Amino acid sequence: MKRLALAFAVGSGAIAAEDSYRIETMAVPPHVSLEVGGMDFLPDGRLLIATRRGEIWALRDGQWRRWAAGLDEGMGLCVTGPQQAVVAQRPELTRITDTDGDGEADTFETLADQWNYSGHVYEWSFGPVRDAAGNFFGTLACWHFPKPPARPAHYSGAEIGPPSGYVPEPAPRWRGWSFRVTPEGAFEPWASGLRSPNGLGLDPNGELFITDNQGEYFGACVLMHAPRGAFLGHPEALAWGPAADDDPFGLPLEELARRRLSPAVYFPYGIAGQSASQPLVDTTGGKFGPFTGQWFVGEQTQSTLMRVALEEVGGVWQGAVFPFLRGFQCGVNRLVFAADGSLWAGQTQRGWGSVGSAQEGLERVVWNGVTPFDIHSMRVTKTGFALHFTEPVAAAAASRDRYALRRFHYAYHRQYGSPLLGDTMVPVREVTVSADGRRVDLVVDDLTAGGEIYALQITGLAAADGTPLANASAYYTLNRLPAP
Amino acid sequence: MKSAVLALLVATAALAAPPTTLEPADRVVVQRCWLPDISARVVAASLPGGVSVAFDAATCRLAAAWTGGFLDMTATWTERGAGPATPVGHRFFTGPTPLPWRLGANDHPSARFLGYRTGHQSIEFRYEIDGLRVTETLSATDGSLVRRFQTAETREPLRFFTGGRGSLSSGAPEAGGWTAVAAREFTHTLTPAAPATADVAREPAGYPPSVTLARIAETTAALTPPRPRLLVTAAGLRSLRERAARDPRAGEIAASVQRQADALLAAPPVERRLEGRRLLGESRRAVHRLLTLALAFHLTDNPAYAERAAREMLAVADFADWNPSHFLDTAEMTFALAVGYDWLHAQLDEPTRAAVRQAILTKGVRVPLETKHHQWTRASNNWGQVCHAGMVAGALAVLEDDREAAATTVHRALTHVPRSMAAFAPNGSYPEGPGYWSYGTTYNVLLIALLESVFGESFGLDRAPGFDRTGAYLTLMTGPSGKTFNYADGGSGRGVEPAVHWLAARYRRAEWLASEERPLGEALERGDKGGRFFPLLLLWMGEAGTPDFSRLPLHWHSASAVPVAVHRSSWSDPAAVFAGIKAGTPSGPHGHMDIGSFVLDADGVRWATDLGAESYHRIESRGMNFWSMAQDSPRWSVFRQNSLSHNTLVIGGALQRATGRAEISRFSDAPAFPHTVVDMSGVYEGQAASVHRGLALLPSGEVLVRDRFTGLTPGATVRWGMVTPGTGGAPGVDSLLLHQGDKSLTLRIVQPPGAAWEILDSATPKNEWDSPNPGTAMVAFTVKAPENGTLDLAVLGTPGQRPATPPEQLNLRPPMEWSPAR
Repeated sequence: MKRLALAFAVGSGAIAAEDSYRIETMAVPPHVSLEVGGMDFLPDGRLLIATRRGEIWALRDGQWRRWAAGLDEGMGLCVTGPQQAVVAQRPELTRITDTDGDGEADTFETLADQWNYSGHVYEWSFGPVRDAAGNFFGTLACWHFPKPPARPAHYSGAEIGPPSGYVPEPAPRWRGWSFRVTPEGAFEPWASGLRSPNGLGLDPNGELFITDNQGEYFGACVLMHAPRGAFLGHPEALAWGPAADDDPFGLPLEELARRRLSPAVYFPYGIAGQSASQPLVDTTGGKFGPFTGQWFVGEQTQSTLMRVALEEVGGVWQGAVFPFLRGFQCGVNRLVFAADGSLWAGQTQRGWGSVGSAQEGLERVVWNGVTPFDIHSMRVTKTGFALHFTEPVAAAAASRDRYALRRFHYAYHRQYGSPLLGDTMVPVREVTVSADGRRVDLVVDDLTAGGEIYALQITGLAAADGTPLANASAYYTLNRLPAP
Repeated sequence: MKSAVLALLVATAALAAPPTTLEPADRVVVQRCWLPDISARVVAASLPGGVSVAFDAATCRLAAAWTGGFLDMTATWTERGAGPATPVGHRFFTGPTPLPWRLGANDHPSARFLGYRTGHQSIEFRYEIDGLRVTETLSATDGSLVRRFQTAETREPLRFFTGGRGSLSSGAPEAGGWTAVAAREFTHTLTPAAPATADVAREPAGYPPSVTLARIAETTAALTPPRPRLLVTAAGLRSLRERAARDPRAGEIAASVQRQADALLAAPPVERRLEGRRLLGESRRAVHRLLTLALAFHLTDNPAYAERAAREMLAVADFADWNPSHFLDTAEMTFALAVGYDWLHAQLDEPTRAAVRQAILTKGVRVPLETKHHQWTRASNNWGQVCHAGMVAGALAVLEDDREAAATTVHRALTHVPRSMAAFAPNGSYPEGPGYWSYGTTYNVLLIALLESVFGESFGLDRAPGFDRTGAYLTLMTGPSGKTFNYADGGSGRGVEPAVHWLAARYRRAEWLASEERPLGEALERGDKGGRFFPLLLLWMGEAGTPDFSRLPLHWHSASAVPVAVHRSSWSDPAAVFAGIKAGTPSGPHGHMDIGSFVLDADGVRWATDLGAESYHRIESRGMNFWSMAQDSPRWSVFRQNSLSHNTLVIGGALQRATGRAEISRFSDAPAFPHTVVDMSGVYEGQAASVHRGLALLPSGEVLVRDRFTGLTPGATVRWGMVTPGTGGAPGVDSLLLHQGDKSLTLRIVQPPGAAWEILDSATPKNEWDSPNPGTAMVAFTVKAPENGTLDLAVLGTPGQRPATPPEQLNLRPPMEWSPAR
């Protein structure tokens, strides 16, 4: 029965706003390996694209020019000046400048390199993103093999061994952490407990959010609020820092769970993504459609784009995931908005695999100005959920049997991933539609917080003008109930 | 990105991607990469003019230069990118591992990488040495690599190390490859040697070994070395009699081996008797017996020794197994039979040979290849060295009977022993203390010697960083009392160490044997066995050389993951004063809560003692988990392991924090005030805001121990303690006179005023599971933290009749102010 329900959700859920958005594929010259790891626009309109082979390409008006080369897998890029960008490469955070303005960078300054990097393929550095004060944030994937027997090789030794010749550095530190680096290069560990955090974003208030990937201690991919000092789930990071423990994997799971700040949202695995990449807030002020202030999140395996609408309830972030757009040629790894409001999607799948015909590349998503009929947001209420639509709904929306609601959760445990646990239908007792037809309230009997995911599937709903619903599913992670 | 495998979803359409090999060009090509024998933070550059370089940003040094190509990035740029880069071409320069700079008197400069700037023809690296800004611009001219250095202004003398390689544009050469450079700009030019002639010498293997299994298999397939083949040749064995006749010391050793063999003739063979979970005692007995009997045979041709050895081997071969669940037991037993089988092959009859080689294969060599007993394969402590060496010995002894197993066993050893050998970096010290150095290094040396005796090379294994220095370690760690600075698990006794002889002979460093003569002399005098490897001395000891003690430092620190430092007043004076102090973490390998603990020798005796390790079996047999390093581990309820028994500080009666870490934050070998400062704050987290301990060896021969605490809870007790074999002295006052025979030591509490000595019992067991420590006591004093939470302690130790320095002449500044931080 569970399998049937799941198939149902996948089959009809991942439809997206294809009538309002189109995907355009950029032609890439054959001499360019465009495995995209980072993107940002220079003030003069050139798009800088950092790649896994360590190059940075500048693209403007279909003209490609290599701006820099020789980095070690640039996995993020943030423009900081007319001829300058900061890139996270594996060993360090580097400020790169084209000092003479000839179109090729010439100066590479090490901003921060305080973390262990031993050559292991999983020891990525991701980022940076930059806050209003000019500070940079980055993340460090957790893989690290300690030098036994100081600590037993407790992590990943069982799952994935270190490469031949792997020697940890003398003072290994900060794997599994996010960090903040000031413009002057002062390094500060920020939030811990990360696994393979291939995405960072700042919300308009400067709050840091991080995506992470399904695996040990992550039942599914997640988008997490990452305030300073938070522990986000993977114990390896506790080998360092203020709460350092010599055997973090020996800490009881209950203790880890007590310390953990739960994810803002889960992306139900296989249903809404399998490899969440970069989260990016829509700051276009309406140039990209009606979702200003919401998050768009790349999906590197299923080659889709997801949308997340968060709300803060009682000081805790939570919200709903919506499938948004599918059909990209390759896994979406990086996102950036252009000045015209189009959303550029940088892609790669080497070594990991993704849906689609291409190994790598660049596409952009353009809004055609037609507002999609979609669930704009899903918010928790004291008695259930309020759905806000982008257009007024038809009168038939008041019918209870149009809304199927399920609830499940993921285990927080040592094992890789998690099955859906506690999967049950949650009856919708009452449906009310607001006078303007844009809000539908669902009343349910049993609202359980604490990380339960409420999967909503809508059938047969149209807008007042007859337009069918672009996307009929939503997945709300309920961490906390509103105060009564 | 994630690690889920999504093979079904992998699209196959792909255009031909750009090449994954980087070629030299007419302008500078840069690539950051991982080069395993250098680091993962390499900035590689190909310079127009045909020279490629690898600059290590982790250590700010030019690590390598080569001609003939640049980099193959295929392993990094395909699939997940799990592999390192491979330089293409012929390497002509390997940079020295330590930083080639000295600013002023600091022998341990720090370096900070700032970045680089690229031009068309050159690349300019920017870094700081002890805060001094340096730019190093690399270019290639006429086939030579030109390094142009520019430094900021400094009044400190600046020295640069060339090791005699290449030419410097200016400067005054000094001893040891150093040059004093006065100019703020100079160049160092390195020219590759002319291309090799047709008779191409084999390039020295890189490190870690990169030889493939296929090549090893190819080599072993064609190999049938004559016997004896392990460690020594027939000619080598024959020459031992001549050596024994010519060299009195060798003669004494040979006589001892023969005496020991005689004593074994009537002894019954070993039995398969476990002690707890270990058979190790029996395995080690077998090692001793077979080395002794086999060598005695070759020294005398007396068949009784060979017959007795055969009986031992048959008995062991008949064991049900060699206890593979504790694989050290299997490894040492395999080594024992391998040597016995190989050295006495001509003397054994065919049924005995068959039984022994069958046992070596089925109870030794094939066990890790065919069963689950291979967890040790990736060990990075002494287990890796011992177990791989044992398996390689077995595999090569019976090479003809299973060539495939031999190739796999050798390849596994080459692949994984670097994990253990990482412990030697950078200066040859050992994380688990002198006792485990001896165990791990002996088998490490055996492994390299085994490979060299059969293959003529160790495939680069001997090039592990620090391995060429580790021969000095035991001597550096041994005090004039003849006892070692036995931090972590281990006793302070010194045995005969054939491995030190092997290293001293190989690297021509007779002074490394400075502390070997005494245990060897004692063993010969008393007729002791001298340890199970004693017979190897005959194979490994070099011709007597003149030790050059000036090549041994008086003051030394390990700069390693388990930091230790020692200070010594003299290498030649038997009354010399010697002190060692330890930093690091209790949760280190075989670690104790001995952070800040020190040992002290003077006038030939030990005054400050480390009680050593508790018996593993004693604790394990009580069902206690001895090996968890967590704060609540039963390990820390063991007196000898915890901080209450160490010569360190106890705040409020609490133990040190097991996960805390302490660094040697300051070190000086300046003769006026040699000292080490340990920042111990990390191991007292929650007990004090900061704790620093300074230990100085004064020119007067006195030792000053100076502690500074901040952030103590007012009223908290702080105990200063030192375990000593010394006796006497009246407690209750600030001065204590200890005696050992006719030797004495005065301990004076200089700070705080009013504190008085007490004498605590360290001899009686504290818990049911503790062993007694007869003949020891702890001298201690306890003070209360003042209201402001800042506390200063100072203790002056004055050995013998040396005049005590008046307090007003002592450097009582807080240890953090003794010298600049490292």
